[in-house]
Amino acid sequence: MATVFIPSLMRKMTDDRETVEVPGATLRQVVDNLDAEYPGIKELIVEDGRVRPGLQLAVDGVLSATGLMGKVPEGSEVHILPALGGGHR
Amino acid sequence: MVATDKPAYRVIGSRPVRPDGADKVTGRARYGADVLLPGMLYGRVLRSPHAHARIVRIDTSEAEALAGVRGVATWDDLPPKNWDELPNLGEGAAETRWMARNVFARDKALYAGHAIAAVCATDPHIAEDALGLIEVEYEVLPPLLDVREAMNPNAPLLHDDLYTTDLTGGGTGDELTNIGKHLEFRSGDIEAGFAEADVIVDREFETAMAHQGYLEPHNGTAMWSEDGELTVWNSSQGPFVVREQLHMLLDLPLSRVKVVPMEIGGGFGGKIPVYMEPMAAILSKKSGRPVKMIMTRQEVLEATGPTSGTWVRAKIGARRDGRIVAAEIELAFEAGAFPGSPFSAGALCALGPYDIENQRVEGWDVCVNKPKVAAYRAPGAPATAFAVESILDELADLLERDPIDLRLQNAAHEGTRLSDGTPLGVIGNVEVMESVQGSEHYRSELQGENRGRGVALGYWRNAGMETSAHAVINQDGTINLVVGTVDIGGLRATHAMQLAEALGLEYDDIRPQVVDTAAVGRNSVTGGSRSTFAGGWAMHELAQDLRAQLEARAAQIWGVQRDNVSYGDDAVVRGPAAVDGSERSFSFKELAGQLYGSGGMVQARADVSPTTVGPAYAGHVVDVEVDPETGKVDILRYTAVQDVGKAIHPSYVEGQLQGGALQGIGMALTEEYFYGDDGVMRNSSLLDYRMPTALDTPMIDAVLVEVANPGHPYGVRGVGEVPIVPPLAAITNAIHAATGVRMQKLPASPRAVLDELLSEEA
Repeated sequence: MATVFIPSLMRKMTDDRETVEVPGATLRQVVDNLDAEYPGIKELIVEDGRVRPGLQLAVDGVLSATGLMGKVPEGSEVHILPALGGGHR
Repeated sequence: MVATDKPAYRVIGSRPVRPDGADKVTGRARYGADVLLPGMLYGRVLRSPHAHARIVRIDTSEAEALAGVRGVATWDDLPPKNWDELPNLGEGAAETRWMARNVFARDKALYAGHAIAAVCATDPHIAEDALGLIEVEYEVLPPLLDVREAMNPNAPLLHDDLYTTDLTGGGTGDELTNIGKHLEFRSGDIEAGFAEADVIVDREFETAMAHQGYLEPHNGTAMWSEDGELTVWNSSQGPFVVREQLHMLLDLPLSRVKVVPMEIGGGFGGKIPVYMEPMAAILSKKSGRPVKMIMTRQEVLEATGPTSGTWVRAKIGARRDGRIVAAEIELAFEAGAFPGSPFSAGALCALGPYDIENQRVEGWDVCVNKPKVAAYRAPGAPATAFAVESILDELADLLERDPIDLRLQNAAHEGTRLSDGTPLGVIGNVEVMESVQGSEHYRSELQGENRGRGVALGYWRNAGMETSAHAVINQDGTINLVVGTVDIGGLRATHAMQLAEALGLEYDDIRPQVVDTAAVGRNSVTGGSRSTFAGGWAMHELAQDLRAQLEARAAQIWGVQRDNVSYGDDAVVRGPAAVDGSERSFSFKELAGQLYGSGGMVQARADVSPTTVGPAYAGHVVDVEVDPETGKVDILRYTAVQDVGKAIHPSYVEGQLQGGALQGIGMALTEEYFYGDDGVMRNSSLLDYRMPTALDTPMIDAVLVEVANPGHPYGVRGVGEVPIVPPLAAITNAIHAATGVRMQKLPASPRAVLDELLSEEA
């Protein structure tokens, strides 16, 4: 199981829960399983099969360099984060 | 590989001369302005005199008829396509539709300086004359210059297709607005936190739009050949990102665009977007000749991307024992004419040095009639740190605590969660604070009237991104190293040093060069404090590959099992003893000399995208003297302390600390875009846009703290950005110590300080 930290403004989709436990070995599986529990939340995270522009996903505090393909070890924390706009471009 | 605490290095930590040094000090190095091609034309740009205006009509016929003019371009010359359907360029980049409308105004001019048309001619003066022959009919609209006014739902709108995107999961709004983006971080119980506080400070802060102030103006030369190949020579922070922008804007395959990086005279984040390069390309296609364009300083200031002017409200509560129990930050950043300010980085970094259980950070990215902002060294973080560090100083006063003691009590450490919820790894935050506190500067007594000392901290996340490189071993044992990451702060040297270290060679054995986009794999920009970090990983990977190949070759030459051969850290390849008992070994140079004729030369390539980034922390101490008659602030002494992970080339790291501090001093004391009510910049020259010089500051002492990043072969953390974060508050805290006045609006120019002093007296 992974612990998904839900951003504050997305918590309306999760009955105001700040964290949700879902299974999944990859970020894609974690997001799919999250959506199975809270239908519609995937749409806020994924667009055209990829992480939405402006968002990024992190596993145990490390940003995924491979988007939804990122591996999720058992017991990991998954964070849904805003991209740091303007940081380097 | 995990770096140990204090490994002994041979090359890393030394201070060799940079490979590009001789060319740069003798003037041989070639910058964008040095590009000269046969038959080259010169381009100039007609820019809007109005900050906000509808473009009713453009007539270029007279300009096109002028002798010597070879082409005129406007928005209509961008390829017809549905801009709205194009994807974002990537993290932090403007969407392509906004990028295109910034290259040429579409139906509205959205800032004074917005490009309306471009002309190329056989002579730059003819091109300049032709601009005067272009007729533009404007319907002038009232400019929107204030970020908070622009947020008002009843404010005039800049765009007819902008809806707010919520970066923390709320999707996209359905009402037209000037707010491009919004986010909120929330953790703990903010109300309960403030209820527990004995002392609460709640204040508003403002910073002014400020420019990176690089020495070299933007430039670009384009040649669009008859067979559809586009070559662009320019000075940028990332030729691959320039290529991608041209690919999207001009609807060309990536393989048909080659960008040749010239040397760069400073960027600091501002030389990542393209401005004139697409214009030069279009004009080259029209004229069939190469077209060169260089901005004037006025154009650089009025029409490229400075950093946001900002409004920040910060409210922080602490118990009487000094523990901070709640923090609430609200921030609104000017994006300029199109969405895309660094507000999210500002939001994340605001509370980065501290461990605060109950917090809420909310931010807005807001369009106003000013130039579209670009990245500028730790984008967004100086503004929010200014607010938070000012309040920390005030809390220390109210609680009668040493300002560093209070910060240490609340310091973020390994495991502390940042505002976005992610946990911090190994960091040097506490070590930086302790180094500040133990420094001779901080412990010294400051004497004299109207003098004061201030301190402040700063945090920056840093980045990894992509580096691609290859290395070729020559017959004489030297190595040609090829990378595509632009060298701004000594990157050739730090790449070569890390590769030399990894192979057990000497620095001079490695000859690095930066090449064009057709000669190496994709490299991300030089920015985000990423290049030496990610480049080090690439050098490590190259070295492992080269070592393995050399072991295999030696085994082949000796006719022994590969597993019995090893490459030592002394660059000697050793095998099993020969039948006669003699030792088998090759020095690196000996083996290199046998490569030709034993199976061919050896080379390696590396494509890395490391994510094990080490965050950076900085602490600055400054002494100032304030002239009570004029309000002028003089810097008496300045010390910049920073956790750098591992300083590959300490001189270049010290230079980053000094440069960042100096730019922060400019933001604090002198630099601002000064606008009239009409939205026209009034100080668009370096005479009136006042950047600090070496004459304005004493020597900035740089103190390097080395807490190794365990996610890097040599412990590297990015160092370039965080030193610009603390100076704003460090200086205003010092001004307060000197005068009793707290400056909440920057810059603290003589006039602004004097106003505050007089208000205080009254």
